[in-house]
Amino acid sequence: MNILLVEDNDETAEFITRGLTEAGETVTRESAGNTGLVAAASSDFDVIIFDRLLPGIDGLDAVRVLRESNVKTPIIMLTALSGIDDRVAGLEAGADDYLVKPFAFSELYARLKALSRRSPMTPTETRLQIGDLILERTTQTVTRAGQPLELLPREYRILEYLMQNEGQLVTRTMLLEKVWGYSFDPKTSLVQTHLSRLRAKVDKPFDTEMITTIRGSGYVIASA
Amino acid sequence: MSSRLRKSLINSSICRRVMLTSTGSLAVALLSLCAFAYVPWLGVERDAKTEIEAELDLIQSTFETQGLEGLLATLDYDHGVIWDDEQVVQIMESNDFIIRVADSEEETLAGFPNLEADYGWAVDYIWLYDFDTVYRAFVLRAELSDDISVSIAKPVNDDIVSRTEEVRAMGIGLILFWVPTTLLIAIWLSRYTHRRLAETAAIVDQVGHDRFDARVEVLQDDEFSQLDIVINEMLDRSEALAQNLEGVSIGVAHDLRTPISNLGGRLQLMERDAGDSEAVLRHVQASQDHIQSLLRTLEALLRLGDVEAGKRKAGFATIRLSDLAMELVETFDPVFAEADKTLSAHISPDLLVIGDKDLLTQMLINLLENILDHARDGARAWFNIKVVGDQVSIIVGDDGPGIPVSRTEQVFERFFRLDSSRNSPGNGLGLSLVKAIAELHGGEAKLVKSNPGAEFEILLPTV
Repeated sequence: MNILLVEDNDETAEFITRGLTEAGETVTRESAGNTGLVAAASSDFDVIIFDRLLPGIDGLDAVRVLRESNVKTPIIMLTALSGIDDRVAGLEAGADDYLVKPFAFSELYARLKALSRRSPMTPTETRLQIGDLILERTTQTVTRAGQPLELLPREYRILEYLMQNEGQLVTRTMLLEKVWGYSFDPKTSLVQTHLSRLRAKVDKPFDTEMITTIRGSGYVIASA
Repeated sequence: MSSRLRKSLINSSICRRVMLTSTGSLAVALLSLCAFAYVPWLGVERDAKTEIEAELDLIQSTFETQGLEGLLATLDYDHGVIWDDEQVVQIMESNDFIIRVADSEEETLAGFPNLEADYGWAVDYIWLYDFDTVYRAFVLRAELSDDISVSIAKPVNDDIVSRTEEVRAMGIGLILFWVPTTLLIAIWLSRYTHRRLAETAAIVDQVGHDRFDARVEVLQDDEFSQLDIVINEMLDRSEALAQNLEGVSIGVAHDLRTPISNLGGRLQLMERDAGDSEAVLRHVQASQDHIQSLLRTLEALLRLGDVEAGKRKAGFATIRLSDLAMELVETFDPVFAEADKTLSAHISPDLLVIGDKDLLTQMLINLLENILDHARDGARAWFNIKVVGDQVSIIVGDDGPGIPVSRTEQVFERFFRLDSSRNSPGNGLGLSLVKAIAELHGGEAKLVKSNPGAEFEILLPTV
């Protein structure tokens, strides 16, 4: 991935750049809003990471300007710990995702991956398939190795989201946001509970496990 | 402590307003007095003028038909053609006109020589030197021919004259009495107001200078006392708020201290186990958990601040509460099962409220998580929503162990924990947030039943 990082805080920038470089990605860093805006508009990036508060031009305004000038590159915004209003404002300005600092690197990376590879299994696709696991969107049915799986609506939506991000880490917070629509983190392990129920249906009756837990981070679905 | 109120009459609104209204009403009173005197005068004047004009007509026709000689003959009374004072008095007693006929040299040909007037209408004085008196009279002087003129006078009724004079005297008396009286009232009123306000101001000043328990003494039952009562109530609330804030600061300090000291401990362990990469990883994992707990507390505090400041009200919309609750039940059912508890739900369908979906979700989740954290193993929990009157009643409860009656007042306070060692799960902010969110939505949160079991009720206004 070719990533543009617009972040004024050196420590945060180093933390992100190091993680991404080690993962084999290319990172260009800008430390002010205006230079970031120029870079974003003039080169072709796969994903842009924009800090919310920047010297020069505010991140929120920069995103708005980019969207107005028809730059469609996926953008993820970073912000300091705060209320939900920032999040709504960020998404309204045209950002595709929003992440609150401090965050785990794996969380950011998973979201970047999800943003950059939206194409293969777009939400418009009627059938998602990984190995022998098939999810039919038109009938909302799931089969594995030809056997139908009885999933509750919530389990169906979790599986759908996991399959859309095949082979990629999906974090707990991502699931909470995309499947439940919560912008806060409940104390209880409700994601874990629902995932273990889902796995009991998708994996347990079969020889191989498709859903893997990444400890402390989230889940990955891949063909066995 | 000196009062901050300026003690100046010029700056006193009361004084100025009393003087202003009093001057205004004095002016009105004087005007009415004038009108009282002037209106009858108008009638008298009109009547006199009509009579004088009729007399003039009569004299003119006499002059035209009988000539000057004939006219003078009609004016030849007991004392001759030229009238003396005595003659005038007689004429006035018979309520007749006083007349003077003069030639172009101002020589009196007949009538009363002292009746000297300019041409046209006038109100003049008629002096009777012999009797040492004077009368007011309406006078008309007109030409009869080029060299002969006539003046006709009709004395003004005594009653009217004396009435006018009475009115004038009353006016002067009014001014002499009114001005000092109202000045005294103004001074007294502004002094009194100043004194009462100064007492209140002194107390408020004291509170402003860190004597938080100072209160205004309420001795009477007047408008100032009502102000004092309101101020006292405000001070009570402010003091409670300040104490609450103090409690919050202590709570924050306590709640942050535990994870931070745990973090410090983990760092020391990492140093000791530096050679053992597996142990270091374990310490890192544990450190991250502590950081998560710190962040969760901070986030909850920020949210609580946002909600209590009413910041989220702008985004209110119609929320399908029943659907939201059903989704929560679906989500939490397996979580309760895993925690060895059962959740039963009775949600009336199609209930709507105006609010913030995210916050309402968090409110309900906090109530459910409160049960997950504190109810005994095997506990039964319930989650019911129905309409009661014009409100939506949300009941979330469990059958044990509940909250001791002595502590029920405190459950919504920030950082309140039943277990004061703070080892129980949670940060003591969940129920504070529940209450704040309910109140943001114009509703209320209360603990309706406790011991055994705790049952919370949230009342929200329906759409």
